Amino acid sequence: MTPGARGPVACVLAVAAAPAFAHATVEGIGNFYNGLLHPFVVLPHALALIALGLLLGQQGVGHARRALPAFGLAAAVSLLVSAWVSGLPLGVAILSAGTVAGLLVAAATPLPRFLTLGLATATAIFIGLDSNPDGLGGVARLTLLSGVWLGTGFAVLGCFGIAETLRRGWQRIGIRIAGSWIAAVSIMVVSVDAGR
Amino acid sequence: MPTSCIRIVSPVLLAAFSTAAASHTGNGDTGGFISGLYHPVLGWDHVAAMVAVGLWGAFLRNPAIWVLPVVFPLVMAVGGALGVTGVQLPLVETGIAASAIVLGAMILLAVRPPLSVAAVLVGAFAVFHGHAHGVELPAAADAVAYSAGFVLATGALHLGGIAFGLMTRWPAGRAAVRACGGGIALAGIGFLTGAL
Repeated sequence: MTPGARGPVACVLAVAAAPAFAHATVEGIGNFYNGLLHPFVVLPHALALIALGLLLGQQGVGHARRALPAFGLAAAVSLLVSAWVSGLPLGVAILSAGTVAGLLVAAATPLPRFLTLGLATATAIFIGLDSNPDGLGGVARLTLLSGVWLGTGFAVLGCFGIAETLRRGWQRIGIRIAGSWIAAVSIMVVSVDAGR
Repeated sequence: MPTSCIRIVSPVLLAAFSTAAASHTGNGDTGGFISGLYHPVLGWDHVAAMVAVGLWGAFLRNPAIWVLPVVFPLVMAVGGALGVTGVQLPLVETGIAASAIVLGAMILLAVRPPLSVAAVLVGAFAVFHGHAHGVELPAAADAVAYSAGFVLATGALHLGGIAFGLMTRWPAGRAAVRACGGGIALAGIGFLTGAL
């Protein structure tokens, strides 16, 4: 499967089964696996994570060496404090991060490392804060959040691995096209939210 | 642009300007992703123009073969944002029909402008297409899913045009592609005059 097709296929899988509610749950699989699936069933999260992973893979291991650990740490902290944060325009922030990452992927120009580090950290914070499970507390909440943390990590790592591995000309082009698609979707949704 | 192209295209546009193309899909459907996916595909004016973008990109070869499909969704999203936020754009249907006429004529006449000119031309038409998608976004639809659907469908149509356009490496293929461009241009005239 081409890299340009993976993002859209992931989107299809993410939205085909259920509406994209922020905290949709799948009955019977437990809090951990619901958390694991959460980044993939919330399309704005999925788009931002895919774009970030593609960007880090496109920029190379040098960027990922700092950005990925920063992403993991920021996601963990923001998930833990998400219960005490409210009223922030996190949806717009996540889509904006996806737009920026998608545009940078489409442009495919070498970037300073602080930029990818900052974008990875910001994306992790926005997604983490937006993933608080309503109505859950204690161990159940921590179990779900640990699944979310792993799910976001898998999403970014997977896309990073794909983009970093694929080196042929047409594959790199496919990655750039995927980036433009993600940016296009994110731009549309931000405008829809603004219009409504 | 060759004068022969101008001589063919300009009178047609001027003569048919007063009649708006009415081949656009209807609006008001609920649903998200599927609705977005169907919107470009069920509008023949969209299909013709999207395939033409891919065809022309393949015809122009590297780097246009991927620059145009990267530029189009991004600018289309901007047009979509305008449509969603209620910004009025004059002669949208005419612009969509004109995109089929002009792009089809470019292919038929084997016009090879500089990449920047091609990108600007494609981008200009993308605004009209995006605006139409944005205006017809169902009020009840999930915006993310709808946007993902029509961006995916648009990209798939581009890829279809590119795949067909790769036949230009053979003499018979070049003739077939140019004939296809002529067909698209004729279809655009049909959309403009309301015959299709």
